[in-house]
Amino acid sequence: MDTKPRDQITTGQTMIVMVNYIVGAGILTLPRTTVEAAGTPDVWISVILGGIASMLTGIIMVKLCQRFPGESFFQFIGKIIGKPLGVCLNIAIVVYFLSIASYEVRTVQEVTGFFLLEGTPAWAIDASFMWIALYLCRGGINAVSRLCRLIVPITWTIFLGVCLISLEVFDVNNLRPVLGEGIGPVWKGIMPAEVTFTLGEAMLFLTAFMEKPKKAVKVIIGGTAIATVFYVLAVVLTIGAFSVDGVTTRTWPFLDLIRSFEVDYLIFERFESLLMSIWIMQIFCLFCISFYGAALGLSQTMNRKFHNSLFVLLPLAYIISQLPPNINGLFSLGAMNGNWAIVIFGFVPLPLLIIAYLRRVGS
Amino acid sequence: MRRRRLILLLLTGGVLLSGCWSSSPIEDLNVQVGIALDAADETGMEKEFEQKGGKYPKRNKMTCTYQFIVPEGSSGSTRDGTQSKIYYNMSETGNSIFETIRELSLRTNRNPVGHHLKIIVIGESLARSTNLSELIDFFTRDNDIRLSVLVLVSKGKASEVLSQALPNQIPSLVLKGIYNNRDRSSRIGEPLSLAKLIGPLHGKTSFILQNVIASGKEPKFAGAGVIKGKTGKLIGFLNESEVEGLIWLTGRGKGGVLKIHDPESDKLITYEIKTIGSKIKAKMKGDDISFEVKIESTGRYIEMFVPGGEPLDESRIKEDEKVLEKHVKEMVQKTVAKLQGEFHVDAAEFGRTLHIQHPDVWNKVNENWDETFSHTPITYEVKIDIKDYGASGTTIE
Repeated sequence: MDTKPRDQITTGQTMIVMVNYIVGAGILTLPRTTVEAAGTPDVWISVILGGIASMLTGIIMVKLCQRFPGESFFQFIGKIIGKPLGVCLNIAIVVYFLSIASYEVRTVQEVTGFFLLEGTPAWAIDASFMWIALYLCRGGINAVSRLCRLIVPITWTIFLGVCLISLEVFDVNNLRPVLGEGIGPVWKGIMPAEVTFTLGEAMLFLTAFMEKPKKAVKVIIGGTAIATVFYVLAVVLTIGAFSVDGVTTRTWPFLDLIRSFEVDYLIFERFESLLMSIWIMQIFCLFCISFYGAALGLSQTMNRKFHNSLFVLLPLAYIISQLPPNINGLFSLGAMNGNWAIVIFGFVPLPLLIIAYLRRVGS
Repeated sequence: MRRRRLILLLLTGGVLLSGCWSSSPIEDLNVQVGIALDAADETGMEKEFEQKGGKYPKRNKMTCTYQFIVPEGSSGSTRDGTQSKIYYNMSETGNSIFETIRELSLRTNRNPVGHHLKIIVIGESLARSTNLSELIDFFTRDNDIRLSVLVLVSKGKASEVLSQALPNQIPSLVLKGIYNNRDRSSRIGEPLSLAKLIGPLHGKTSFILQNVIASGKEPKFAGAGVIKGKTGKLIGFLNESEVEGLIWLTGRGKGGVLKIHDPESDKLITYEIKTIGSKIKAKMKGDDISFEVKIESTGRYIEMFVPGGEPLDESRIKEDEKVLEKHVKEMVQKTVAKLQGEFHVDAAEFGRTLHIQHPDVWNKVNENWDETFSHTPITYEVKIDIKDYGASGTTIE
């Protein structure tokens, strides 16, 4: 039984996968969640701080992985804390990745069903989404990373272009005063920002696939920094258009930003359909990466074939995605994922690293 | 191999031949371009329907008039040269905007679609009695209607505004288009879309909404309605020159005209505005708040009735600048006096200036700002800079 990853990806590829893993459905709601918590327009500072925190936790995970070159977290965890505990942790992580994937697919279902394809049955949206993801993941991490690299120029260009056009409704006064109520609200905003960022946990298995695992720290810093740019842009522009009072009333503030202007000097007058279609690709990448992680974790923990675990997990992902009874349920699933991420990936890796160091396992 | 080909063929066929899910041909749709909301006033047709039993339980709160584009008729005049109407309006009375739209589905086979809605006009009596956030709630919640829809008020009946335009023009689109003239007139307020309305309404900030009136055949932008933040209701109107004063005060104008008869010599000076800018400074003296407004503008002479054929030399320009400055100052003061004295609301964003410059003070006065503002002293300084005199270098002979 060979569960060792065979295909390898370059540093640049890994970085792009990393960005795609961070930037997903969260961007649509981030302006609201952060402003709700902080209550001031300073949340862009929270987002930057969240990004830095996410880098730090990511670096710890990378350091841990670098002690076991060529092995993924799921394989080497047993060597650090023993097999039974390791299996438990692995299962928790598999469930986490699966839950992230489910959250993304459900968000796509909700947003597309509401804004883009009203009348198309939810299963039709989900099914096409998930089957293609299954096909892609069967191709291995290389296929996934190639897809990420393929869509990046499209999504980034359109995202930045739309951001530029949205300056039409931007009012810088909505972002002022900066730190008018001191630094306190900024701290409150970090938590929801962090929930959206996740903590760079994809590196737990990505490092194992890297051609040059030594450069993994670069990947996590670069990837998170790029994602931070996206998030800061989304938050700043949305608050600039709606003001703090307005943002909190919007379910999908970032989409509403795109819906709040019309331009008459370009081929298109409105951009929400365009942005949403490409954003579905972005979310699709996130789904694939996280689904891939879950399947890899399951196969390596249970010592089963990777393909089989893909097939086992796909229906599970669908079931989890249909568990939230309504939109509030979906948002709490998202918040729960984020909180679990902070518990599992924020607090566990550092002790693991110390134990590994003390027990002298790994190089 | 053959089986594989067959499967491939079937798959491609499935994708290519299956057409679009939930598509609908455009000529079967009623494309909404404008909506007028008025206090309830059932139309004759509605009354007739009701007499014959066409009614459902409702409170008559408002009458919604929907303006639709006629797809076939969009080409304009018919073959024999007579002009055909390229839009039509339908009215429904009820207490839920959404229900009135769906009630239309009992009257026509074409479904109303909101993707292309451009304008919402709210009639005076409805705006005075209802919180605007209730009126726009449906529009900000709906998935088809975009947040770029512009909102206006109308002194009088809003539905009349939507029934008047020149031949071959669609009233809603005319209204939207008038906003493009902000570089030609300084009497048009900033366009307020739903997106820009949500914040002040939710944050209970006072603001102004463009007023549009109708008479005979055409609509006209005439001043603005003042919305009180606390209640979200219309409390009165600013006339055209008061709106002009507000534009000068906030410096948000893009161009226009400034005209004055010199009170001493009765000569006419017309100044074309190139730029307007304003800086407002909030000053704190102990607990007392005051504002310092500095307005600056550049432009040129565009029309001068000063007999004598004098050359427009430096001293003349200086003199006229003084006259214009005084005029602007008076205009701005009049506007602010009305806001402070009559309406007791800050619809000119002084509060925001205070919030930005003195956030700590703002937290204390925030709750009762409209009242506090009403007796806050404000000083003005206007600087007009006449850059040139057009192609004619002298006053008229």
